[in-house]
Amino acid sequence: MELWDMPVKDILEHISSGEISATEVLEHYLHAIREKDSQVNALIEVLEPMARMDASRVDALLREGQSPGALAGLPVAVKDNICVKGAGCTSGSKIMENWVSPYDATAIKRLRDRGAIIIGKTNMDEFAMGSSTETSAFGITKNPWDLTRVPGGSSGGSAAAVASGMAPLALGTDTGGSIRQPASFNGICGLKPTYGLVSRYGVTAYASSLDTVGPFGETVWDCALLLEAIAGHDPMDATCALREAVAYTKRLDGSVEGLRVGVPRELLHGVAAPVKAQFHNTLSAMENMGMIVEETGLPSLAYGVEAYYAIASAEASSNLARFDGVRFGRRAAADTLDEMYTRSRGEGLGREVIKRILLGTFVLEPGNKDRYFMQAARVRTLIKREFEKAFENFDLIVSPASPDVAFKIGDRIRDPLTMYLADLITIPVNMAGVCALSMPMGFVDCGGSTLPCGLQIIGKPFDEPTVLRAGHCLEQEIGAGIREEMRNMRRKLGPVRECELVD
Amino acid sequence: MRIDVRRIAQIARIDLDPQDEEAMARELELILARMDKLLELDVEGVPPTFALGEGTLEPAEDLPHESLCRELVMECAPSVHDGYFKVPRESQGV
Repeated sequence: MELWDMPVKDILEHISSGEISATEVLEHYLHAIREKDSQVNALIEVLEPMARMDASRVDALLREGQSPGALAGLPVAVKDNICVKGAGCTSGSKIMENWVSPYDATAIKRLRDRGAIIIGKTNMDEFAMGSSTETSAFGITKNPWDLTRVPGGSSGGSAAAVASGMAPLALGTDTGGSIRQPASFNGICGLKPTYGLVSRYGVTAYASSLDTVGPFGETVWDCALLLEAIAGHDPMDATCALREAVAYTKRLDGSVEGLRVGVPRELLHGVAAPVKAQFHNTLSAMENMGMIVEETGLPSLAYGVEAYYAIASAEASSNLARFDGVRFGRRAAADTLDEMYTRSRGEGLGREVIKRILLGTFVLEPGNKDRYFMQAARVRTLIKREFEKAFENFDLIVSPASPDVAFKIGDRIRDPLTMYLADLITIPVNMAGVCALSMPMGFVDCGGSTLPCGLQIIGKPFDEPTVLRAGHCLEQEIGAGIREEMRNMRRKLGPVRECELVD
Repeated sequence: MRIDVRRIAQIARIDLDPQDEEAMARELELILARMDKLLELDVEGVPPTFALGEGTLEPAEDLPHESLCRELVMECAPSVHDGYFKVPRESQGV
């Protein structure tokens, strides 16, 4: 088997057994980036020297017979709103274009402590505000399945990097669907962990009560591996739960028979017919595996988008006040302090970000706060309660991960309301703080392209083990065809270096 | 709902492109009109949710610990003088 097509589990085993070095694995992926990223634009920065040093260190430890950790030599691409010491952290914004992080985020420290190699920083919607990666100040990322389409967002660069074979694993952030929707558009898996399971220390804050950090991988096992490395309490983040990481990869096998699965009608609203057809096929597969699937109703989920945009914008208007040209980032020339603030922010922030800051400032104004922000915060309670009630009857709740497949670049950027409303399916999960997996469930033929679509499996707070187990078992049933399509897409995208291993 | 976008931009300390003011106001008004849908729901007596999860939300213990390297932090600043962040000296207020 060749390296470009090898499961992460096998790459890890080959590195540990010395059949291939961490440096060889890294060079393979750096080569893939050189070959493919000119088409895809998934990466804002490739950390070549740093990654080579880290890979050499892993190889040296292995030669000495020491264990470099559970992720020894595995390259990981990281969304550019997560701090990596010595690398830029633009958050997709030109206001942070030349800033270099003086520290590692907790998630990065944990990856490095386990021998992972941070290969690069991935493109994203500016400050994670978007669903297409079109609002990045560093160019649009293209969907590797069809380069005229978006990869989704805001973690579009991370998802496209994994799908196109430029990195085996990636980290993203999810505030309203920013891991799950791009995972769906790219035919890979992505997990939005329960709020508080993964530390947010060192992650650029967008909406602090909704932001989460999570993994991308080609398979559910890959996501479980990355999650068990980054999860667990961190004293540097007061919102982090007092829980330790679970060995998620060891809890993937087991029976799913008898699991009760709810399908809320509200999350099927506006779903395109071909995606709905794939979803119903998937429900049939789940039933054949012994899961008990039942339709249900969660009426307040229909209000999730409106409540989200009030809350997220309000929090963003406060969080992004720090980008003022004083301590870091871009500073505009100005004679007075006020001019410096307003010009630095006006010149440095993109239009979508400015719009959300203005919206947040408006909904927090004394005359407007009750009508918008407080009303939204109360609706959030209703959403949370409905999930709690639903989980009394169901182990899992499922829906498509997005109402449609990847759309054409430019199609929705001038119609923000349509773009916002498409997040209806993913947003309630962040509002309630529960966990959810996005995994490929099939393909849709669209305008001459074969495009993936994803399934969302929602679980109770901190019940990632059940979500991942259901996803893993389902993958065994429906995953073979998806993996074959992925191989074909990668072959079409560009040449891959042959790297045969000796059996 | 009409929105005075110039005034809001001033509060948010953002220099807004005057040519974009009208389009921006229109887009915000559309979103706010959509948000009015929230008023359909009866939330009388429902407490608001501002934060989630099991986080301690406790202040950290007041103990010394390693903090960020001062030199590295200052290196990232747009302008420094004698170990301080340097800014223009006057403020006109709003």
